[in-house]
Amino acid sequence: MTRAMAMLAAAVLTAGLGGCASSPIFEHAGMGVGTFTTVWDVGSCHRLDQPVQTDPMMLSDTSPAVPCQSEHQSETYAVVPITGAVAAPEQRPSPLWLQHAVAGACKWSDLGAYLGATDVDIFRDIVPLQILPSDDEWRAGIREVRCDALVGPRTTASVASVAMPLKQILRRAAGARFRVCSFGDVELTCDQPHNWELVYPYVKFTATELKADRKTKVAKVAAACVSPVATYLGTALTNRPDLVLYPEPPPGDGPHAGAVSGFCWIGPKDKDRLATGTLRTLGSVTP
Amino acid sequence: MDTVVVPDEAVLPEAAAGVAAVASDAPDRPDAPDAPDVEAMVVAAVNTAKRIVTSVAQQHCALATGLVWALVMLVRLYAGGAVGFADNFDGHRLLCQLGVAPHPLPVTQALWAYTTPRYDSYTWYGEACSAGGSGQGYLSTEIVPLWATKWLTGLFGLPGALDLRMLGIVFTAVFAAGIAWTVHELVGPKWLRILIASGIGLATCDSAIAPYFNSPFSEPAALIGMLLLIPALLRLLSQARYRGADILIVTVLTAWTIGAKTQMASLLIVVVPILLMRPSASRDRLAAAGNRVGSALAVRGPAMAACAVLSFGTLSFQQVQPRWFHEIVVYDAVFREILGHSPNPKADLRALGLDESLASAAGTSIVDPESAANLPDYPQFVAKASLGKVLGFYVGHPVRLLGVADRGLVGVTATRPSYLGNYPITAGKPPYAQECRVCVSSAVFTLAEPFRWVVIPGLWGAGLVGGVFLFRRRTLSVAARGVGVTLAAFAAATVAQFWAVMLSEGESDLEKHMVFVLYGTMLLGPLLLAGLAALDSTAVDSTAVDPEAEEMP
Repeated sequence: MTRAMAMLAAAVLTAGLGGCASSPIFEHAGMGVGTFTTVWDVGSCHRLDQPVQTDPMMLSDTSPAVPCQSEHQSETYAVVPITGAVAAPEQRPSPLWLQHAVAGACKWSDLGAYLGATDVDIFRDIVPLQILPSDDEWRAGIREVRCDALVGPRTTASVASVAMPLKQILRRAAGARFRVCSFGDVELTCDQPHNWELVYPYVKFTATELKADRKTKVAKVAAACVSPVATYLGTALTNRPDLVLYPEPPPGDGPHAGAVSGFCWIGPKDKDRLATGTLRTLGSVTP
Repeated sequence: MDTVVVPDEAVLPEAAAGVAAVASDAPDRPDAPDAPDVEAMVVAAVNTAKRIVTSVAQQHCALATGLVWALVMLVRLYAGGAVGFADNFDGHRLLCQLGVAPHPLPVTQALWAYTTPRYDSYTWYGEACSAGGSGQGYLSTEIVPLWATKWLTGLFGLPGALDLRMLGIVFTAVFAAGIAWTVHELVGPKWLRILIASGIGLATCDSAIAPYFNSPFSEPAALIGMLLLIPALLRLLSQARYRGADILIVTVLTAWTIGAKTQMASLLIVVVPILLMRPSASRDRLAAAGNRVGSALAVRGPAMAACAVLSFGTLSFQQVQPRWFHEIVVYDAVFREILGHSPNPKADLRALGLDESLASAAGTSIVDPESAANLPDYPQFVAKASLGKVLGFYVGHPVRLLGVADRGLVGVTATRPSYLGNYPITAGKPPYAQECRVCVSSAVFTLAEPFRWVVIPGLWGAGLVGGVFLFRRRTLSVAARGVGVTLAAFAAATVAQFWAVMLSEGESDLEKHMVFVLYGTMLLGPLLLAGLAALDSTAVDSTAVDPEAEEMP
């Protein structure tokens, strides 16, 4: 009787295990909660507060969106379709290969436009993050990439957060958090006390020009900086006697030591005065 | 095997004697009523305790041995600060299932440099909790002790939702039970059984093994499964005719161990033959069976059912593993192991039936910047490559197996992954510091490294030959022969595990993947001693030749 019971139990267990392998119950066993559905809305904000969530292996994010005024780590700035051969497989391809295959789908230029950057704005601590459809969504035929603006600095052990919308943030005073400044030889964000603030673009030098003496190179950088700086400030530098231009020639002696381009730095004329925030003229972007 | 049943009276009179001594002495002392002799009371109390301990040790030597080794394990894990393993990202796939995330680290702390025992509550959505973000869950029996750990963390009021230091306590309890059970099931004189079980205890307390018990990995469930399989097999094999309960215990423990990590599927190679080796029906039922085939089926029915469950369960378990894991395994087998040590990667790719254009990725891991996973033709590799083709390659290139084996043996002698720290940052140790509280294996295997081709296969061979020798000696008792089977089984399982690792992921994270080979090899020491003890037990237990006389009470 005991043996019969044991055999019956074994048979039930066998059938159970066999059923488990193909059971839909097992489909999401050992996985996270929720519907496995991505929020595809541009302007939506997302909490990715664990470093592992942005590991290259992590393809999807199916967490619910959070209010952009609450603490979050990313904000969707675009949704672009996946096309061509990459989109063909019915089963979602290998994670690393897929990440590589769609690399570039989330363009820096689109990110800059979303943040409110123009030709004279350079930003840091914010990068594109591509979010792909979940396995379920891929099987359902969804072929899109969600492009998120991911806030940094972010490491394998730590994350950075914001509690405000990132859209057009570079046109607001809060955008100083993502602008590039320097304090001595240290590059930092402009919301921290600093000497100089960087204006884009970099001044390109040819191989021949790089061989010129420092004075010549400084003159070239200074000349190239006039127009961008005027755009940046909303007025010509000559109209701002409190400010001064520091045209840094290559190879550089500050945070960009060794560079082959020149840089346009602006800062207080009073060398003893540290600035906090941005000198950029704010307001909506002119198309 | 005798079951030692100790009636309460066996302990109580002795314990009571000590108390009585105090009571009878007391009235004789003139100052007793006003000023009790504290010294005498202490001495009496100590004597009483000593008698109780001695009595327990004598009558319950298995229990006492287990308790002593529990104490040793607790001391080696926690005295001077808890030790464990830093998380190399593998912990996430398991712990996220418990709704926890690592407590935020200091920005400057390197993740792999220190252990990170504290986890806070966290809600993981969708694939953020999956095997490497692959979109498929990671299943392991390790989740059970981790649940217990989470519960204990709350029970003890520790900060955070889960503290991995509690995991070591869970495993220490099971470890102690395993040691006690082993003492109980071994054959031979009591002192020798304690010695053999202590050898197993020492192997488990080793610095290459014990820190796993405070780690976020799935290894500890498999390690403890291996340990428990020793007494389970000894118990099963102590009978000429298997009992259903013993078959069930071995089946459950095997399923548990394989369910901890898929690479442990190699256990089936030894467990299935053992289960089918002896009959389990009574002779009456044997006689009642109509024909030879029918009777053979009838007497092995429960074992066959167990084997079916194990085989089908293992197959099903393999099938529900994330396909990403399969991809990594095949990638490592091809690109790291075969092509990484190839004089002609293109020729090897042709032999594998794969595109030569992948040769540029020879020697890479899948996450390397130069990985084949970044090449346009990679999906074809995923579609075409398989472990079957890898095995076929080695059939056609058997000499290459020598290099594979040598790398594997080097991996065994390394004993543990050097890239993972054992201490929390609060311990004040340098990053990636490794503990050496019980450094037996690293000392022995470091010394043995130049002689690895002799020492390690020699141990395996000794286990196999010794086990088979014992099993084939029909003058020995059934239980003694069972020790031989257990010894040979562990030796064979260790060899199978070695090749399972080397022919799958190969040298990728080798030191960590070889932990079961290392542990199995270390266990062969005490098991060989058990074999000798079993050999010696012939004279004592010469009547046990008759299987009928081997019935447990």
